[in-house]
Amino acid sequence: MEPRGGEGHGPADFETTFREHYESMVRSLSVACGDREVAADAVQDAFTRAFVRWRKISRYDDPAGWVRHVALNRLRDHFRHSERGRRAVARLGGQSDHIVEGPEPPAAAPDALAGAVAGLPKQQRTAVALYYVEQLSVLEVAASMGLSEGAVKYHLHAARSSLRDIVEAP
Amino acid sequence: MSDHGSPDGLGFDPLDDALGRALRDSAPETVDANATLTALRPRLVAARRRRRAAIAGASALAVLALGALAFTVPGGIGGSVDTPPANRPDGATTSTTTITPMPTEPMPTEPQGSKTVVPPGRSDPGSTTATTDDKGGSSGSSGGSGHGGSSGSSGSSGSGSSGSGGGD
Repeated sequence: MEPRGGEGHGPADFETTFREHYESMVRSLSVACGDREVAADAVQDAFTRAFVRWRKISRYDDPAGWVRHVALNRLRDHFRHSERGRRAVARLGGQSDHIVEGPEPPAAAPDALAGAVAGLPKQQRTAVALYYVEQLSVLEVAASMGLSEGAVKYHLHAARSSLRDIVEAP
Repeated sequence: MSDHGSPDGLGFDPLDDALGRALRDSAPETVDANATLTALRPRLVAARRRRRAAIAGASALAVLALGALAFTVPGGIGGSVDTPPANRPDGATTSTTTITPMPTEPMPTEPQGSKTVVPPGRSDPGSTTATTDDKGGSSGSSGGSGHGGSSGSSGSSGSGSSGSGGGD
């Protein structure tokens, strides 16, 4: 399967782009955030935003990359808001406010690998999801995350080192 | 699967394949994209309608603002602006003075109004001089000839001298 998101010859059709990229985006963002419903909402919202501006976005080199970038921003906003809510609840309850920012881990990790991925830092988790699940190139991952290629390679290397033991375990 | 390792310079080994496969297997399955698109269509149409309404509203607001500005500004847009005349005292007139440069002439080396008369027969102008003043009278001056005091003796010069003893 070829990495997706790099086509840029002529204006793209919205429905074709949606059919080609929706499922893989939801899968990768589900791994990134640990919540499939939230990921689906973010991707649908990003496609909705793209739809109303499609005349302009279809001329981009990578319309799907734009959608993915917006979806990641939506995810970030979602977890920032939920983090704020959790902090407020913690303050009201008189609990400690040492809460690490980022997506909450999945409620029940189906296996050890998913649990280990959920325990990675946010950037590493997102890079792993886009690179391994959606099978984007490092350049596309960097464009989607708004990072440099070197930063993405660093995150991937760190995540791979963390996940090596689990993957190599019999 | 695309070749992830070497083209991106990460130097990944077969561990990458295993990791990618395991992660894709653990990723949750999603519903069909076509079904989702069909379900999403009313939301897309509503979003487009909202955006068009927002653009139309913004345009109408801009036109209204321009219209209000045109009525608020005195004279309207492109009209003339009345300015009060300048405050001058009554009867004051303005005059224009043109300054023309004076013709330049060579300045005389002698004082104006006096003139040196050289008596005939004298070759040395510096020895005996008689000056005539502006009124025609002459006040003689002897250049050292010895018979001074003969005022008006040099009436032969003719320039304004009225005979001898003009001074009386």
